[in-house]
Amino acid sequence: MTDLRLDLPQGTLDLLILKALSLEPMHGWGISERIHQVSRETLQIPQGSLYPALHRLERRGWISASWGASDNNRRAKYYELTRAGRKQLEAEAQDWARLTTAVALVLRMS
Amino acid sequence: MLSRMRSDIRYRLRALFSRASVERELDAELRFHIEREAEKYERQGLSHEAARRRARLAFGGVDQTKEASRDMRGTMRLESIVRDLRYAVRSLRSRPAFTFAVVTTLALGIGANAAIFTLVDALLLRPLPVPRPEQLVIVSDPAQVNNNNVGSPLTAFVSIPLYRDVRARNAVFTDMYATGLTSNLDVQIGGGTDATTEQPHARFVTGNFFSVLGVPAYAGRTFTAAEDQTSGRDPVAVLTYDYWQRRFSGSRSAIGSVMRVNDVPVTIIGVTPPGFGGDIVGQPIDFWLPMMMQPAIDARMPRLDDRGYSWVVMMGRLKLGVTLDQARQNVSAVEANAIREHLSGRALSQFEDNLKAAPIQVVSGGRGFSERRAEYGKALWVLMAAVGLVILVVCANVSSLMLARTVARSREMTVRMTLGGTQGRLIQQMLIEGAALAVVSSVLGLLAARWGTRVLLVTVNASSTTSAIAIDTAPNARVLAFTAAMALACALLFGLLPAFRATRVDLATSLRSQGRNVMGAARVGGGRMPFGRALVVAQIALSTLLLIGGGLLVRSMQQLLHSDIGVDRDHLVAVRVRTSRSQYVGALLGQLRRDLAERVRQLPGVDAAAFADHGLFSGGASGYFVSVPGFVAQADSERQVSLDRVGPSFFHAIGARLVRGRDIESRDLETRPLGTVINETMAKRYFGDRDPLGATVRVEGVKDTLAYTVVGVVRDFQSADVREKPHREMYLAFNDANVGNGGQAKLSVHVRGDPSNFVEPIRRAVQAAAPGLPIHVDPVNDLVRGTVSQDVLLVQVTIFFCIVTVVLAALGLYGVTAYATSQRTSEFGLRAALGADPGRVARMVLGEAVRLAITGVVIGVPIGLVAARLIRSQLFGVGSVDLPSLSAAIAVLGATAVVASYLPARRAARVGPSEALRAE
Repeated sequence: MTDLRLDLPQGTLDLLILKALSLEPMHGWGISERIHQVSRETLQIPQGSLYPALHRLERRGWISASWGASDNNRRAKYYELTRAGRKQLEAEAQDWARLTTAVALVLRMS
Repeated sequence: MLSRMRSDIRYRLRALFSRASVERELDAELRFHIEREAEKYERQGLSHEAARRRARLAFGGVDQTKEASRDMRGTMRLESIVRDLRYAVRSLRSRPAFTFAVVTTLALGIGANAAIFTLVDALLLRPLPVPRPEQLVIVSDPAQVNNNNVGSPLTAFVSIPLYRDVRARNAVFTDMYATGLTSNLDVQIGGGTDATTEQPHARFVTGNFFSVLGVPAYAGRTFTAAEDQTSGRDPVAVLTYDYWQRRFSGSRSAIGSVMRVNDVPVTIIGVTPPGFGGDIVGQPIDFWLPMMMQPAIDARMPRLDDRGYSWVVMMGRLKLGVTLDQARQNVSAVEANAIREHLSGRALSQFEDNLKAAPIQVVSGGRGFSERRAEYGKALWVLMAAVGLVILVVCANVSSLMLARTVARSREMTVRMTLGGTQGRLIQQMLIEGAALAVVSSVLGLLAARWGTRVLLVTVNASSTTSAIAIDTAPNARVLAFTAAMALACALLFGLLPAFRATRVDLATSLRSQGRNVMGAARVGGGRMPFGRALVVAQIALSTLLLIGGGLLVRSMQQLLHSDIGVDRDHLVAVRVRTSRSQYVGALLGQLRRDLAERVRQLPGVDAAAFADHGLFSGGASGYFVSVPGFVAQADSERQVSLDRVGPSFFHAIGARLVRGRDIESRDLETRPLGTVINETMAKRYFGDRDPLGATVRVEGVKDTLAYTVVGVVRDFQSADVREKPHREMYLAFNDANVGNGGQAKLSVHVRGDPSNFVEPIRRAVQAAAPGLPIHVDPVNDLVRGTVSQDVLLVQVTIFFCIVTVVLAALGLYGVTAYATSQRTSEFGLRAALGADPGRVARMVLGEAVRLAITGVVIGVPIGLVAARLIRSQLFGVGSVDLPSLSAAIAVLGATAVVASYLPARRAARVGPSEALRAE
């Protein structure tokens, strides 16, 4: 398996996690897999960063955690977006869009 | 935002308090992740085992992830502190001897500091317990609360008419009160047979005393303006809470009851709140009487309307927005003008001169008045410095104990650092251990301090009968804060230094020497513990400092207590009989004095006895103006002499030496012109080279001027204060019992042998001659000791602390030497095997210890000599460089070094080759 690993810019990991969770509650592994697949296997979240990030987001109140049964009936910790998290996602997504547009504009400069 | 904060706190609290379950969840979560990952790989065709391995590899360091996740919880710091604290407590409990040694020395050091600080705080720093104390302003000398003077108006303490003027005319105070001393009061409480007479402490205050201070009544009421109106009309009193509790058991029925004060029935109208001990710091107070009752209660000397009778001090409360400077300008002008109005001619110009030399004092009154503050202030700061040194020595000591321990734990440190423990974490842990020790010690120290201050006060009050100190020694917030700050500083001092030292582990050397213990442990912290040695040197230097100061104070006190004061102090007994409110007045009192002298003189072992008005070290003194023919005074102060009235053979009785002429004799009491003896200082000042014998000295009394003929000149002797050079003094023949201090009869008695053996016989003889009167009989040296009680206090406490520091320094030296010796067991064994003389080995060890001591002394002596200059004002009769005390200090430290290193040296000498092998 050849992952084309990209270093995630600072702060983007939070955005990706929030976005992934905006569709449905998920456990940590699920989040990492989802991002991996959706990004067409370009983005591989380092596990060493994923769990600390989840704990950080939980502390900030953007996501909440609860234990539930996973698809093959094992207990897993599911994370879910809170209202504050949804707002945060919107704000961060907008910021991201503005940033990428701006960066793209600059790069298109010839 | 708010909800986010709430979730944040909730999250952290859960992380902190249900740590175990949070940890379990994290474990489960990560395990779940890895399993799912492994399943994924298995589905891709890997074997179960390979998939698991792959998943683990892909995940990276599980522990790092856990640690990072924990970090995200934001409770790491706290958690690690709690963990370190548990660890510290466990490890301290596992070494009770070490813990006991550290806690004891620390508690001693912290306790000593807290004790002295309690006194410093109570006497020097603490504001009065009244609302807005910063608004209070004293218009007088804050120390002159127990003084009175007849003569020209003064400003250090003032007359009641002057107080009334200043109060009415100033523009800066909302109001101001005056307070003055009472004479000794005889108070009877209760009626009938159980009425006993006692002498409580009271003061006269103006009716606005409580309203200016802002002190409400705790029960009943306080004084009002009504009590200020008519002299003698309001016989009422307000009690302090303590006196109410002590004397009336806090009974409500006490309010409204009557006590007899100098036979005047006085109604108790109220009690002040607990914690209020009056406006005069350090002095006991039991109740207050209205100023207007003064003439009724001190019937012999009414003082309310005499502008020449200065005896009260004043305190005002500033109007809002007025500064102390503005108040000073306004009040001094008002007061000076009020004085000028009633002076003219020479007296006026004299007043102007005095005013220039000593302006009217208008000072912040927030801390209240205090005679004791002036008396003990300097001594307390010296003590504070001394205990400051003690705590430094203690810290050095604990530091070396901790260091020795960390060296012993070096293997643990090495392993922890190899496993990735950061220096910061290790230092944190050692600091927490230090803090735990400091906290326990502070609590013990505070208890010790509570006890220590009480003992100190009892000691002082026992040595000084005249000036009792009453201060609140209950630990307050300020003392607690001081102690806490000190504990923290100590923890940092003795925790941080060894911690830095110990964590600078040379990993390679240390690991290599794991199996070979010869040098390994010693290497940690560098060489043979140079840091530990530095600490010992510091301890000895600090001890030197303290010993030099202590030595000077001891020598100074010896001088105070034994120096030649011009009289035969070691064979004198002073007798004082209180005759106020007895039938002995006028001629009867004169007769009593003669009778007493006669009776006492007949006691076996008594050489001589003479009566006098003030006598020796009685606390009284009178100042008078004199004029001497042929002497032209430039200023009034040049005409002032101190005056006493003495009976026949007084100078013979006290063992003073007459340099010219003769003693006062019986005939001087009868014939005119009246005879007087003057001291050398007075003779020199007024007569120069002329012969004073036969000359006439005119003494300006309150009512008339009397002429006296000089019949003798006596060598200067001290009769009031050992420290002061004798003033110009003259001694009149005490022929008129109506002048002088009417309330008592005093004798000076010369005895053969120890004066304390004569106290009882003399008391019995006096009792027989004057039954029922209060009698005080004291060896003069005890009275002298009373006048230098602050020195006695200073010396006793300093000696105690000197002993403590020397013992600590000895322990430190012992510890270092013993440690170094134990580290060199194999070397000594080798030397022994090669035939070294055991004596030489012992000498070598001793020599090293002595070298450390010498280094400490060499550092300490110059610093000590400089520091000694700072306490010069406390010294009497010794310079700040005093060879005897300096050599004593050095000798003590030298002896300490030898004693401390003797045991290790002996052990070193006994090391045999086999022992050294076993040590390997």
